[in-house]
Formats: sequence, structure tokens, C-alpha cells
Amino acid sequence: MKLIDLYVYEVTRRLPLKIREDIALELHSSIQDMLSEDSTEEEIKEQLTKLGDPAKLAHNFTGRPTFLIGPAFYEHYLSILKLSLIMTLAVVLVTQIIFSLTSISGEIDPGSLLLQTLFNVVGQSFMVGAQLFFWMTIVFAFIEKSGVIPDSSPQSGARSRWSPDDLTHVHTLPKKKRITKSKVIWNLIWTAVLAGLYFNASHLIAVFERVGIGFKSSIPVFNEEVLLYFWPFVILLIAIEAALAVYKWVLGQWTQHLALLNMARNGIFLAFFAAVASRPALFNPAFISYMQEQLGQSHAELIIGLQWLCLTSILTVILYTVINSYEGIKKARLNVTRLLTP
Amino acid sequence: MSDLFASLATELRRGTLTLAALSQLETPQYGYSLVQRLEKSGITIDQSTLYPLLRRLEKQKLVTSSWDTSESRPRKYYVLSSYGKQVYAQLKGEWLKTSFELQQLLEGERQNEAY
Repeated sequence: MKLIDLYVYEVTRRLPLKIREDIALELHSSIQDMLSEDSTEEEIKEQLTKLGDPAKLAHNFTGRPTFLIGPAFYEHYLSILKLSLIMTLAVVLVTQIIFSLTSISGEIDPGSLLLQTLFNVVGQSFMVGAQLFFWMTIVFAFIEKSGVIPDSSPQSGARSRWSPDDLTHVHTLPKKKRITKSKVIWNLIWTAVLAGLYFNASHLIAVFERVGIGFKSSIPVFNEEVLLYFWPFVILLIAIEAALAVYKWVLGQWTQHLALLNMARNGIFLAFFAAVASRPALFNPAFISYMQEQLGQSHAELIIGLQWLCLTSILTVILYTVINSYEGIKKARLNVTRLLTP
Repeated sequence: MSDLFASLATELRRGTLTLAALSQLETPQYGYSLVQRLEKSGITIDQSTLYPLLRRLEKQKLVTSSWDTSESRPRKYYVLSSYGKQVYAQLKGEWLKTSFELQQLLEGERQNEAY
């Protein structure tokens, strides 16, 4: 009797709460049906052996797939992962070299600098690579589970079932509607570069001084505290950008849905940019006084100048997002079938 | 060789289990009574497959279920729904057609061998 309870428990603990009780009850009565009124432990064991491994039985009940990323997306997953890992390596290498060049101060000898740079490159590649792997896997698992992108051949986009017509669509897709893989890669590289710039702004966007054979960043342009204050939003933007890139990669062409998502992404970016650019404390006070000395202007004049600069850049970004969103919609509207008929 | 045969045979039988189960559910059955009925006609079905199969059929609205608590032990009974009856009739027709075709194919093979 106790064996049966244990067996039923072993099965049901692997099931969703909702159906647990019902299956437990049914399984209990089914097992007892198989046994005679007073069966020995041997008989019970024999019957339980017939039912087999509780884990397997539970799996049969849920019928849930036991994979994270199925065959429909696995190929995409692998190729995007490989590509982005290579890109990450490249970006880390470049930023680290710049970083090393800008941090040269007379005393360090070239050998130890090289060693230090190499060490940083390996360490950062590992960190960023692990992050990338983690997020890519999450994004793909989400795509798999949610069914956002229909399970079909990648070229056919929203089509639910493959037909030979798709073959002709691939080649006759107007160039503008198509999203080439290289475009997606450029998107990702830009995202990585901009993110790298943002988080290393205090080293990279600064007034440089000549020191010996290299340069040394001495006065950061931006107030680091203000930039770091926004870091969760930057991470969110990067995640959105990465997800959108994956979506574009898999779709391979502009669709209405993608155009809408693109517009939403632009809106979020615009909001973020405007929020950062309109911060009064955005610029480093030391940088402002440095500029005052250089240009010979008063503090108030300079502040007004910087405000104009911010306003202009916000307007530029507005213009860019509007144009970019409109282009997306235009590309999505391009009609494939009309172009197919001669 | 025998492993391969076993896996091929399982594959061959897999699709027929649904049909076999549906055929016995015109009258209400509980899990174990269904097992016995199937075994009596020579169909062995893994019980770890059958119970989940019944649940799946219920989820697909081919059968309905109800608990009978009047006896000493509560039992869950399954019976074909009207939709299930329709699907069963179609499947049955499909099976008869397939098995007829296959039989002709296999018997043709035997005749060829005779020549």
C-alpha cells in the first residue's frame, strides 16, 4: 500500500498542480484495479514494474516537449550564436586595445602592458560571451515556447505551411523588403559599439592629453554618475535590440508586424535619449570649466551652448526615428505578389 | 536485428492504439477495464501509454469523463463524445481502407514470390 502511495507521489510531483489531484486519484484506483484484494508486496512490485519509470509516465501525461530550442530554430540559434561570439571577440579586442592605448602613462613598460591587455581581453570575452550565450538562449527558448514566429521555413515568414510558391518568393523578394544577414550583423555590431562607448564613456569620450607615445584621457566629457544612473535602461535597450535582431534574422524580410516592433523600439530609444540628453547635470563640471578656458566664454554662455547642442541632437534623433519607422512601414508594404506577376 | 524489429513494430502499432481505444469507448470504461478489453482481443498496450492517452483524448474532446464514487473505490469513466463518435467513424473507415490496400499489396508480393 505504501509502495503505491510512493509511486503515485513520484509521478504526480512532476505534473502541473492543476491536474495533480485528479491523476493521483485515477492512478491509485487503476493500480488497485490491477491487484487482488490482498496482494503481497511481490505482486505490487510486479504491477509497478509494468507501469514503469514514474518520470517517464509523468512525461507521457504532460506531453510537454523536453527541449528548449526545437528543430525549427536550432539552426538559426547556432549560426547567430557563433556569429555574435566572433563579433563579441572582435569588439572586446578593439575596445581593449583603445582602452590600453588611452591608459598609457610613462612608467609602464610595453611587455607588461601587452600582458595586461591580453589578460583583460580573455577575461572580458569570457564574461561577455557567457552573458551572450545566456541571453540568446533565453530569447530563443522564448520564441520556441511562445510561438511568436510560426514554425515554418524561415524564408516564408508568416506563412503557416510551406508551399513551393515560397521558393519563388525568396528570389523575387524585392531587394528593399529583404533583410540580409549582413544588415542584421551590422545592427548588432553597432549596438555593441554604442553600448561599449556608453559604459566606457569616462575613458573614451574625454579630453585627451598627450603622454609619451600614447594619449591619456584626463577630463571625461560626461558626468559618469548620470550615465550610470540610466544603466538598467541601457541593458533593456540592448536586450530589445538583440531580440529584434534575432527576429529580423529569422524573418528575413520586412513585415507589418516587424515594422510595428521597429517603431516601438524607436519610440523607446527616443524616450531614453531625450531623458539622458535633457539631464541638467549631464556634462562633467570639470569639462565645462575646461571648455570655458579654451573658448574664453562665460559659464552661462557655455551652458546655453551645450543646451542648444542637446536640443539639436534630440531633434536629430526624432528625425531619425521618424524616418526609420516610416521606412520600415514602407518596406513592409512592398507587395510581393504584385512583383511576381510579369 | 531483434532490437530493430521491436522498434519498427512499435512504430507500426503506435498509430493504431488511438483507434483501438476509441473502438472500446462506445460504452463507458475505466482505465483498467479498457486494458482488459484490449488484452482480451490480443492487443497489448503499455499501461504507461494508455492512461496518458485517455487524458489526451479527453483534452481533444473526443471523450468525456466522469468520476463514479458509488462503488468501494472511485473510478474515472471515459466515454466517446458525439464529436468523438464522428472522428471514430472516419478513422475506422480510413483504417479499413488502408488495411485492405495493404493486404492487397502484401498478397501481391506473395504471388510474385510464387512465380
